[in-house]
Amino acid sequence: MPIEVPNTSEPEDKRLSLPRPVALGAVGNGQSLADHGQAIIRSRGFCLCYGDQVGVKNIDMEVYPRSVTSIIGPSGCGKSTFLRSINRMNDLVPNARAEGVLEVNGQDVYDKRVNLVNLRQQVGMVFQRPNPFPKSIFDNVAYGPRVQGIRRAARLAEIVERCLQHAALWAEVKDDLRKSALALSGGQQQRLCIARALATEPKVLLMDEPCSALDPVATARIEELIARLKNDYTIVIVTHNMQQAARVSDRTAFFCLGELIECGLTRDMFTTPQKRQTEDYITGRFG
Amino acid sequence: MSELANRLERLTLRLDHMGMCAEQAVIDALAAADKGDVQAGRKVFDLDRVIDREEVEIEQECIRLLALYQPAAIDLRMICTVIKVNNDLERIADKGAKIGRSVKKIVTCRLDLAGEEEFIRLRKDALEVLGRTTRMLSTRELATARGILEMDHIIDEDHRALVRSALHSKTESLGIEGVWTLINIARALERIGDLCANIAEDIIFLRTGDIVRHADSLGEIHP
Repeated sequence: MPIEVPNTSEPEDKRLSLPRPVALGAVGNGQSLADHGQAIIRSRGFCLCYGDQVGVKNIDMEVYPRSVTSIIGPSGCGKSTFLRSINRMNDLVPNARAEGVLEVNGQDVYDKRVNLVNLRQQVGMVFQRPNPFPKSIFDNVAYGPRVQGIRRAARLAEIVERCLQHAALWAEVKDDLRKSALALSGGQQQRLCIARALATEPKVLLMDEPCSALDPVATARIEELIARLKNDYTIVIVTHNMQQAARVSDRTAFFCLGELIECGLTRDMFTTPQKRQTEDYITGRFG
Repeated sequence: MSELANRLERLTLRLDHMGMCAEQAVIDALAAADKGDVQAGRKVFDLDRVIDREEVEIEQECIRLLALYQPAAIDLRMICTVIKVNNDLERIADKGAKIGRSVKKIVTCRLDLAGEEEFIRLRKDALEVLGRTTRMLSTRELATARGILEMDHIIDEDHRALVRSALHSKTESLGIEGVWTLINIARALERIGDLCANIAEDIIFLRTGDIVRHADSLGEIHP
């Protein structure tokens, strides 16, 4: 079922009608994704420019449901630009212009009629640095559902508990939900941000270097969390950490100078990449 | 050049050297067997001990590189290949030592290897494939690797012919002890052929990422 394009009479906060991802079963590193159904994200000839400057060009790529896709590449290669294009975060950049097709569940997200709020509820995002609101832990997670119009305390409490459990944070904060989110450690704040993103029941989670500001222990917890979340969500992660991409993702895409050089199963990319450029990059001979 | 690239280059040079030592061990052992020189046969043990020590050091360096650099792609395939080839070369040197140990028996049984037609053929083919294998360690040519896999079948056939001939028609002329010694040496040469074939498969993996081992029985290549 495609993203519903609301008509003008519909309320602004109407949920997008993205269906749950097709139940494909867990997709582990050892399995082929080639036949795992239809892609949930698909780009064809997608370009994004900032004025005259090209961010990404002619990207043909597919992301499959309930899997983790990592995007790697040198600084300035367009990996964050592409990631942020998926939920149109680049709309906030002056002179940003998109061409080609970028679909989520069969609907072009750059269709002018797409409701941006709904799109971002369905395609959640976690950023490089944890950015909790200066509110309590409870209010951070309940923020999205409240925006969606949920007011009943019991329902909100249920959502907050479920999301904190999904984000592997519940056991640590359940007795202190009214504490300020800013009092949590960096790793806990990042998991809180993930819980907050889950609260709007997204189908896709975009993660832009989610561990770059965390220590190895917090990083390991986020990676364990990603492995669990992929049973229910589709995850696209941008990372500079090659070992992290190898550890957490099923598929890897290598970007360079705004172009997609190679995209394939992670296990193949890190053992036998098809393109010389990819091999040079992941073996540190790039440049 | 990165530190990892430097260390990998040094590692592959050590492996090349180890290949030459293993080949030399087999050549020396066969020369000692030809001449019935027990002393020369014993010297192969010394070379084998040096190779054993080198095998351990190369393996330790591989483990260090894996732990410190978390290599990927060609670097990862290279280290995996070195670990496996290193082990196979050590076993080739062991086979040389085994032949060296047999020299005493050759003398006792008055076994004239130079007069055994099937043995001469097996020995020639085994040394040929061993020479190609050690050269391939530096060239890493796919065509050479595939040629070695073909030659292993020839060595297997040479070995079968020798065993057939020894059991059917040589028990009287060589005696049981002589036939047993001949078959043991032939078995060592046949195993050297197998180990060279293993190394050729590892070189194919290094170059292509394909695991061709057991492709016959499994009916597929594992990329």
